[in-house]
Amino acid sequence: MSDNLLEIKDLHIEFRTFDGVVKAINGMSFNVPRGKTIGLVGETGAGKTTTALAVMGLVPSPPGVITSGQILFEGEDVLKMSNLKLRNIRGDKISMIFQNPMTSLNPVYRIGKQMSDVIMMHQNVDRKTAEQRAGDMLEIVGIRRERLNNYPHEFSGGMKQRVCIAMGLSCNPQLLIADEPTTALDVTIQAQILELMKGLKEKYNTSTIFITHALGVVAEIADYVVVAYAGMVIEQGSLKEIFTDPKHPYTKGLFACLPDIDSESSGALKVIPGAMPDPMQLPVGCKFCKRCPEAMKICYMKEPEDIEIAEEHKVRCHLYQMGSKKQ
Amino acid sequence: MIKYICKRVISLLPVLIVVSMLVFLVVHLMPGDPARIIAGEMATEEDVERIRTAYGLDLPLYRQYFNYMRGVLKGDLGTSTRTHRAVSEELAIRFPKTFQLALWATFVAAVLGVGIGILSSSMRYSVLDNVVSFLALLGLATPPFYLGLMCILFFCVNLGWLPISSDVARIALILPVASVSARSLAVIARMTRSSMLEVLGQDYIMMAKAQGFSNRKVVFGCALKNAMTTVITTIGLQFGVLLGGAVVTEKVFGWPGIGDYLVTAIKARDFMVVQSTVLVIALSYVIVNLIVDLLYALINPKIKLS
Ligand SMILES: Nc1ncnc2c1ncn2[C@@H]1O[C@H](COP(=O)(O)OP(=O)(O)OP(=O)(O)O)[C@@H](O)[C@H]1O
Ligand SMILES: [Mg+2]
Repeated sequence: MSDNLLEIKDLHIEFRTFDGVVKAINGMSFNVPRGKTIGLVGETGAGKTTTALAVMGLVPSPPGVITSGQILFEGEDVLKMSNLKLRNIRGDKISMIFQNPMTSLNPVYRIGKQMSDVIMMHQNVDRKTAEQRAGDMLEIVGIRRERLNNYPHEFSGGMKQRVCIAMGLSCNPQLLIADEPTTALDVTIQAQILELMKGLKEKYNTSTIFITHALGVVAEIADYVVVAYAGMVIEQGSLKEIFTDPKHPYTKGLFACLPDIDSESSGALKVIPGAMPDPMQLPVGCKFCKRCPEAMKICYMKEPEDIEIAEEHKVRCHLYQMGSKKQ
Repeated sequence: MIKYICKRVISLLPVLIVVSMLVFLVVHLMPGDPARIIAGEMATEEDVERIRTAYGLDLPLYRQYFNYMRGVLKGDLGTSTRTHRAVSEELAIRFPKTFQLALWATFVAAVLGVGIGILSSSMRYSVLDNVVSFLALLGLATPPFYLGLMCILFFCVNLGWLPISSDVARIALILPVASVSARSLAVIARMTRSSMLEVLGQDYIMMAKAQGFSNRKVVFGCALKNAMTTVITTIGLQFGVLLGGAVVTEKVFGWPGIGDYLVTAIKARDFMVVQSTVLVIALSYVIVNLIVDLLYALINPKIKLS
């Protein structure tokens, strides 16, 4: 058996809406090794959340259709699992922290009930033990356990986010999918949460897919980085490879966007000009070609393939095609 | 919670006062001179004047209002100018009748409406959902008295399954309840469906699914209570409307309720009956609303604080 907990293979997902077919995921492939953290980065609309939902078997359908691909969790295809089996995995072995903490908690139930319901379901314990555990989890994320008796609207945004994180961690999942979990938190709490997730990784060997825009956070927590663009992975590799030697012009652009404290010419933030292609009318060749400063003729005609540039470093770009220039 | 209830009850007082004034005014705007009507066709001018003073109808309107309200607060709702019976006595017999009909009709409409609404929301766009939507529209568009007549024609006359009218047997409730509740059922089913659909699209429902809850748990455990916050209000309003007397339907079935009483009184310009009955209807409407508000607060945690 491979040491990958999760393998996503050539995943294609489209949303068939009244206005047309949105090709959200176009051949997404990456692996999540056991006990490692993947930093999944990419700008808005790149398909990060959709990929995460697919792993949980929760792509909204209609309009979502998974047209091809495989998602192997412990060697078994999630897309072919029975409903019952999926349900037993969700929340227990794979747990997801959603992007919108403000609206992810049920407004009419106490936090304690919501948290202990999940624990009771997956761990076969009684209400009292479950509430106990829920209280422990709250304290871990820095909220007093008495707050179990509160309703969601009695928490601040950052606290709600921490409650969601506590919920996501409460059953010690093997795979944790965290969709921008630290956006609403101030820096100290954010650091605490990242510490917490690191601790979990060491203690329970939890694998994590950490979705974020913040490259700083990625550097903090990830072992591997996956850069998504228009529903596919355009570059992936170990943290060190990507941070020290980014290859794809898009990845390079992402790093250039970071404000550089050392540089004299600070002032306006750099941005990558242009926007992601409309997922209803994807270009034929490389999806990035229109914004690429180094685009060549072939980029407009042919879709590049994955090229293994070094060990643990793959890039999808014509620049590095055999016989092409520089290396 | 107790504090909240007190606050709500106190805030109702001004509403009640304004309602009583409005009712009083509207009744006095009705065409016709009450004194002349009481006196009858044959009365002389002097008789009419005597009656006018006897009933206090010569006083300014605000004095009449205060006199009337003084009586009301003592439980005296005046006497019918037609039958010379105390309105409170008559209402004591008729109101429970209407209450019974309204309660049963609301109960049936709520249970079936909520059930059907949930079912069709969880099978959105299915054949069943479309059929339900169509029937609900039909239910909304059909006047209850027409439905009542058709029911009588079909079940009593053609099939002979049920007695036409009389309030002896429990079974006599079936047709009135069915025809009165049809519209409320349609309203409640539509409301339930749409608020369930809204709730099912919320993030916390996706979250509940991601936590591994079964579909049934998601619908009944996570979504229903949220959807109910709006549905409860609808149910309460429907009950309030039905309490006002399903006027024409009561006539069709010969149901001796408030609606029947009111229609007769209006035709006879029996102004005291009209005034007091409308006041009682308004009062019960306000009380139902209060109960709905309290129920709403009970299931919606956000209310309790404010
Ligand atoms: N239910 C849906 N119906 C139609 N299109 C959808 C739906 N969900 C997502 N999409 C489309 O799929 C694409 C990917 O969306 P996704 O939410 O996965 O992006 P993301 O990478 O998570 O972005 P963000 O960083 O803003 O969260 C977008 O173009 C989006 O418009
Ligand atoms: Mg997203």
